[in-house]
Amino acid sequence: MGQVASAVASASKTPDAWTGIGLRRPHHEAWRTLRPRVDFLEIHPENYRDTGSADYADLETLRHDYAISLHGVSLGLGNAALDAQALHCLAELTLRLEPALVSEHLCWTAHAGRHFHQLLPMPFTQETHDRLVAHIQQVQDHLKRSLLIEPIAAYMRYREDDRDEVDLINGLAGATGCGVLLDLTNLYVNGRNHGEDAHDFLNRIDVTAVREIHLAGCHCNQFAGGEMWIDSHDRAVPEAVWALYDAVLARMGPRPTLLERDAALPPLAELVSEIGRAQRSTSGNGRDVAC
Amino acid sequence: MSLASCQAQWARALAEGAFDEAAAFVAGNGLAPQRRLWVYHNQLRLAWRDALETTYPVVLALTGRRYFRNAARGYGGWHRAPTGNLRDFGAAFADYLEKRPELALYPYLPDVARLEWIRTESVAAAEEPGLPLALLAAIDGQAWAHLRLRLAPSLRLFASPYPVARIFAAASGRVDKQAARKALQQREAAAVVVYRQGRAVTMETLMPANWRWLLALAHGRPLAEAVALGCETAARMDGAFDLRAALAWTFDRQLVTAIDP
Repeated sequence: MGQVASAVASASKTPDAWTGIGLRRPHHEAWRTLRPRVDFLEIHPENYRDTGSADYADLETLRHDYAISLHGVSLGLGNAALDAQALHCLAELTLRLEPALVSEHLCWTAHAGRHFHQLLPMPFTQETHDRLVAHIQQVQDHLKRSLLIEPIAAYMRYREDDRDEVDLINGLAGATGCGVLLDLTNLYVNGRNHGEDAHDFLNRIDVTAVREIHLAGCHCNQFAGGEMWIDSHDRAVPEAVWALYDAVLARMGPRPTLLERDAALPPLAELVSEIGRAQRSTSGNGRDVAC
Repeated sequence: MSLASCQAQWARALAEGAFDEAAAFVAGNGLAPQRRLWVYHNQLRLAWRDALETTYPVVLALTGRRYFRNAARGYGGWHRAPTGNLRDFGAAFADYLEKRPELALYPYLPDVARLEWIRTESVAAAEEPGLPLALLAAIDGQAWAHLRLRLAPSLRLFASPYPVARIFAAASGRVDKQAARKALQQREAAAVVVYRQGRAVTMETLMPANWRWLLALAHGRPLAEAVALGCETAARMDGAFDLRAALAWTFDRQLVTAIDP
């Protein structure tokens, strides 16, 4: 965990054993008043770019009690060019908030100046590798720190893929020194949607590069002729994803683990209770646990 | 296929829902490639629709969900979103509504949308403490003419030939709908100021002279010039501009954040 610079969270825990929850606006007041015992909060920088706003003021208050992770959605690492506005926002918030972690998705988001606000998949090819290496390096040079890259949930693969996702990611980490944010729900969804083996992915990923874990809810859309698993972030983490989490802990030990929920938000206490399972799991690995 | 041409075909599939060209590079893996592309197209449509519904609850209330969703779909195809931040997505929605021919019967709707948009701008604006009126009173009267009053970053001014503030309030359930209908029939114009106090966005309708005075200040005009514009507007409207009252109103609401000589 060489990248973790801030340690405002539980002093008795190593950052690897941190657990956190994605900070969403409807929970701001509950966070301010209840201050539940988790270690870090993760934000989308895009939602806090207005640094004079009341939302940002909340964040400034909360960061005294929680480590912060910046998790971007609009840099467009796979675009022809990075989104300059998103990079500027990320850099400014990195300076202001001194986040413990900074991450982005491995995807493209815009073409010819038109933005699609979706995490769109890249083919697994040499051209993709080269473009992503250049852009990851550009971000890291700009931020003067290491970036974590998150492989996305994908609803399609490309015919022209000449390697699989693990090879691409290991190659990117090796070429740039970036870390990997492993979203186990993405891994599960991709396994279901493409017949890929999530355990094979876990066995082959460079464990030294994995610096954060994400957990979220997903669901299956069934239709005539098939089904599609959707990374919906609108419900509790399914048992199958918790089983992958146990496999991760067994293979690489604990990593900072975050619960993501973006839709159908329950009361904050419910999310705190849910991430408590990760706290107990990391405790089972001989690490400290939050009270 | 190069990334450039692949992403160009994807972009067409997403924007227009035309999947056949892009389907050529999709591995089916047991499903029709078009079906896989449709998932993205549908998710995008839902994300855009949700963003617009969040930003424009009053337009949604006025048009009804079914019409609004149809308009949201049309806007998604029409608007080339220039930033990757979903919060910016609705910026041109009012302009788009203006182009929909069936809305000619509801010409006030684009201005209601503009009012909603500036409210979101006000929410995101920086918060700066307001100054007390006593600070201005302490300055030598000789110097007043050249003073510039800097206004709160959250302050927005909006004028419309339609009673948009009344329509907004009626659609939000805060005032009687009958009053809004009457104002609309009488073609009552609106000069509105929007600002934030703490976390709450406030909207008030001003007399035209006061609105003009405030607009001049917002544009950085010196106090004397702003007063002249207020008086000129008041004279045109057969009224009077009361500087003392205007200053009290502005300072009371903590809307003056600096006084520049």
